[in-house]
Amino acid sequence: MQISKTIVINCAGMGSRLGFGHTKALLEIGGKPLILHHLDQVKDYEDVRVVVGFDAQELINEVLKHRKNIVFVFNHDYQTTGTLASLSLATKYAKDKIVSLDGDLLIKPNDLKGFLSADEDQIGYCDAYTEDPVFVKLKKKQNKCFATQFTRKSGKYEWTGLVQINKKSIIAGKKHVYHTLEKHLPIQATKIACREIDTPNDLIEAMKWAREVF
Amino acid sequence: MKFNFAFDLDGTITKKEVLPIIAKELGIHKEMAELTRKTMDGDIPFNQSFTKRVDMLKSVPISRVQKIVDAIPISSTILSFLEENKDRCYIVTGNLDVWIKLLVERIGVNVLCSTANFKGDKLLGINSILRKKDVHEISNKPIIAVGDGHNDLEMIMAAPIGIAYGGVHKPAESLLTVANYAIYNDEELCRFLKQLS
Repeated sequence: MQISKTIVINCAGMGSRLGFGHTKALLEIGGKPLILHHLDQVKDYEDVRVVVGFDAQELINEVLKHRKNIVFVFNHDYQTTGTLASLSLATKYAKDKIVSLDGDLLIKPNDLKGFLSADEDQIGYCDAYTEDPVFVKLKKKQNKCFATQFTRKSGKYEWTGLVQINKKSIIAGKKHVYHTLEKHLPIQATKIACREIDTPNDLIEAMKWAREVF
Repeated sequence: MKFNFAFDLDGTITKKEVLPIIAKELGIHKEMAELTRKTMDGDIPFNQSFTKRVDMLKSVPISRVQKIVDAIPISSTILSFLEENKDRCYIVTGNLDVWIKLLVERIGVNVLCSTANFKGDKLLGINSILRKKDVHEISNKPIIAVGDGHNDLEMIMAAPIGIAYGGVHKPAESLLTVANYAIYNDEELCRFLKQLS
């Protein structure tokens, strides 16, 4: 039986490396804005929160065309804070289990569906490909895969930013979300196919990939 | 239970702005709607605008206004929430006590509002205009504040949890710069408020 969870979609950042004048969640890839890919995937969830900051009004307008029962959470300090600040704000008064999903990440639908259908604490990982990844070390145990360490140094796999965990694990004040997850390792790890969009090159790659996947 | 709740009236609890509906009696609905919209957006300061709008409407007998206001459609979801949490809710409105009397008595929760000078059924003018942030001093618990117009700004800024509400019309832009949350649907608002409780 699936437990009730709060879905958080982090869309507050400026994405300044990309040179796009809007929040990255409004990028059209695979036929529609990124945010709509996410909304379609979470349409059966009651408690969906979109964290907004940069370009908030435009993002709100786009979301409301498709779904009115959303809680928009403001990260007013989006210029000087990161995803952990957004996630901390969004998980206040949330259900016990939360899922954090970044607005600039395009995920293969079936992989996200599989991830959401499980109830265990878990992270989503993929083969390392980004310029500045959070690598993740994995260990197999009893047919399941577990993340045992995060590192910036080197690795075969990276963390995608996707996580499902108890909301009490999200503690503001650290620098990055993975810092706050470290004390909960080992955590189950699920492989997902995805593309993050940070740089102009990422966007080109993501659009190529989307043509195959979507 | 950690919080009490403060709700704006016009355009939050009511599904239409109140003053333009009253203005229909005098055939000045369009003019009143425009003035009201500009005030909600913060283009005209509230006190100045409200004084002008009351002056435009004061020829309508108070009892007639009370009945008009009592007939304005309200959100049944928000009404249920108010009724289920009577002791924890405040209606906080710049609107006039004599005009909203029947409506708020029917709802039955605490009210903070502007007050009128009147004689019998005749409105003479405004006695006092409410400063909405006063609700924080009156409440015995921290307040979750819900509003849609620019004159809700202080109340929302001073609240530990401030919600810009867009269930009737877009919230004033100024609210989106200070609110903790924005919610555009009355059922979603009440679902979220229950989760905060």
